[in-house]
Amino acid sequence: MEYTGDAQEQREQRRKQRFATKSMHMTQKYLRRMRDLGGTMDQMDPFFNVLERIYVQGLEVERPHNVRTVGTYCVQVPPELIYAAGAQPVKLCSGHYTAFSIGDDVVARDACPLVKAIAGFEHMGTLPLYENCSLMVVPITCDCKKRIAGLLQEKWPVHPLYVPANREDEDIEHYVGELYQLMRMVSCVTGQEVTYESLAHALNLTGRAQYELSRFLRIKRATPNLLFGTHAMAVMNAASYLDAGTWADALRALNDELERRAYANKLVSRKDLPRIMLTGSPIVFPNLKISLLVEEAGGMVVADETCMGERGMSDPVVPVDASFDGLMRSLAIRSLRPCPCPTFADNSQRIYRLRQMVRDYRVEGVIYHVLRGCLVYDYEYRLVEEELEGMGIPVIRLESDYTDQDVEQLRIRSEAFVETIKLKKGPLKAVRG
Amino acid sequence: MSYESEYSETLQRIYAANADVMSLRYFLDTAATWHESFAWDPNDIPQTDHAYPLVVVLGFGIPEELVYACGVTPCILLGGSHASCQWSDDAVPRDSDPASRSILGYALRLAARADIDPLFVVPVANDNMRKIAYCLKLEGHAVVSIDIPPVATDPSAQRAWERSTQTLVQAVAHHVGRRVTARRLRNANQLVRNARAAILAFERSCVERPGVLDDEARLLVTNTYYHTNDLVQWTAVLNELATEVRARYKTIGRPSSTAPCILVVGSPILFPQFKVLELINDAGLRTLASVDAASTSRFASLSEQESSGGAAALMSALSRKHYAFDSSSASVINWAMERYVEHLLSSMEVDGVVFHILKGQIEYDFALSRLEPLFDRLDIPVFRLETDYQYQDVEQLRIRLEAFAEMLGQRKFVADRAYARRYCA
Repeated sequence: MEYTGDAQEQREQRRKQRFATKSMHMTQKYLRRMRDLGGTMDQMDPFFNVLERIYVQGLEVERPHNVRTVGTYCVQVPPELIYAAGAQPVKLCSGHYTAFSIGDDVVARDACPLVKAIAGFEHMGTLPLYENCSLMVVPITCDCKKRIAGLLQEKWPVHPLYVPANREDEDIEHYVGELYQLMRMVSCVTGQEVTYESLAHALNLTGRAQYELSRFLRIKRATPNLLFGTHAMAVMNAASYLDAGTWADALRALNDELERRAYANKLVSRKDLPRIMLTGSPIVFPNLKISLLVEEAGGMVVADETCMGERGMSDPVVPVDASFDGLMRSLAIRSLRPCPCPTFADNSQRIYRLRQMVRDYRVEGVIYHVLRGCLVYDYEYRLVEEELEGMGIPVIRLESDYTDQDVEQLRIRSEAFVETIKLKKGPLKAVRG
Repeated sequence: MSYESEYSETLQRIYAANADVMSLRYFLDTAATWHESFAWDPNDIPQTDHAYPLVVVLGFGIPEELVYACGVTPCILLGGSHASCQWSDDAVPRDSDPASRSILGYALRLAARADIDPLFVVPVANDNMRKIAYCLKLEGHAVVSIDIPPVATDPSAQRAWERSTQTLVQAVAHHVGRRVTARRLRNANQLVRNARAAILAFERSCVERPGVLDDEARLLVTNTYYHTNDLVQWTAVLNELATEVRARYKTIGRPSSTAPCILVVGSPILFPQFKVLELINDAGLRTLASVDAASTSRFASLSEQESSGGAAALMSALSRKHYAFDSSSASVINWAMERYVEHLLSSMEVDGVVFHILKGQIEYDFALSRLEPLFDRLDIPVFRLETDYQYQDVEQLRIRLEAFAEMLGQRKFVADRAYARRYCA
């Protein structure tokens, strides 16, 4: 059957409409499941609302008039540089199943679902979050990001950011040069020069957000049962679509409320639930199925060592030299040195961090999440498993895709894992009793 | 299938099909010797007090001249063996590609030997290499990972790449205890340039004079470039082989030219895993050229005029030239490979393209989607052949390839008939 130009256009419109409706329903479902967990509080609304605004209402990010948005992908892109150039950074890594199903036909079958979801949104061209980006900064951190940079170039101005595989002094030196290039690129887009003052202001802005995040994590560490881990992950995911100041304000209000609840011993669950940590491939909204499954099965996600979680923002910038170049260097150092991303050839950093987190959060079990096709994390599983075994912490590898088809299988495995930890705790209690 | 039978069966098949070509025997022996050196029982590791230094390069992406300039022949591991994949099974995730598995398998075999002291040079061209470097380092081996900047058009990428090659030279020179001088660099460049020129001449001879050597033999010969311990002798014998091909062509006469001619693009086809070539031959297709990560590097040597100056200038020139022709999977867009494919399509009469993709090597899938408009424009059918090193899919691939060959044959027949009508009307 052949279509005329108009008919083809109408058909395409209907296809986009169907896509928008399906993706809206999918997001709504996950937002509803999150709320159904219970324990939500009014102070969480700004975070849930922004997720709803972007993915359900299909609106663009809230920003002042004339401020452009710059899309970023991994934690190695310093948001400070983008703020300093007068733009707003938005994180475009996606966890959307509907977009994934479109991207599945667009990119290589063995590419990871996160990249397929990005390709899906690129292909459909319906989400303002992507469509309104004036520039996309794609750090070359893995094979999939490398290839998606080439694909996105066909539609948007893209700045591929070369992230070195090592972190020796000369690599940092080179990365400083890369950041200067990025700065020029963003300035070119916004028409605003990055000055010492604007960079210092941006550092203060993100510093405030980091301070509130550290407060949030401190509260969570002390009393994990104040809120569900899934909600905490949604809070951190929301940082991708809010400007740092707004996010920090909302988080401050939440922190105040959490402190009040901690004082009043108002918990969302029993204290003795198995404390689980999530690590591995990024967990991006709305793909929160793993944490939801764990918490629906009676576990408590107390910590989240993924790049959309604590790792994304927790490392502060520490300028030792107050000059402009000193600030740029401190940004480069922050982006590479403490980063436990498996893009680095030597990633012992991650093992140290995991050990630290296991101790800090008194973790009783670890779920190692691997997105299908995410090789870099899969390679590190063996090392993490050996390390955690040495610490006596059970670990389970959950491989998942951006689909609901594997949910029941994952549920059975998560429930079994949670039960195992409960059983392990049981006799101990008896002995103490 | 055991490791020994895997390579020996392929060698036997190649020998049987090309037994008359005397110079080929050197290359069969070279491949056999190299592979035999890995065929030992891991429970029977020889103990020795003295370990000799060895530079082991994992995969494509670095200029081998720089290793030769340190006075050592690199042991280049590119994969290609299904049996060697099993040696690394515990160390790699399920979804890693077979070539990387095989490379790591070979590397672990070498690392287990007490009589050698290996330095592993790992060009970080993809995620597998990135993590293999980490695995080897954690096992306590000497590793130097060479970063390849992914955006060749970026002005700072060139500087970063030169820095990487300096790191490589320093590490290798330190490991083998020899300094790199301008003279050694010039000699190494000449050594590799002669070998590459011989490969190009040999391939030209085979394309222009079909029927003397089959495609498997041809690829085996070029593969042994990575297996030889004596590149000078290897080059001399290759030149002899090219002469023999030309001479034999005169005696056997011109074979029928009805077989559709194809270009094989994508993941490298490496000895002993010649399953794809065997299927292509069985389907009655003729391979004009292969385009993979090694193809463009054959043009990356410095000419006589370019190889002047001191050691620093030479090293810089060598690394720049190599980077310009690098078609490994390190780049965001593999321009070198795309341009080479375009060049071959415009200079050869290609009836179709077989795009070979090893499972897990997504870079070639993305390259295919970029090249498809070109194939469309030139009206060249393309066949995407995805496989791994196992043999379960052979019959399925055979059926698909035969259908593709029939389609190409039909197209060729129709085109020839239309051409004949024009003049016979």
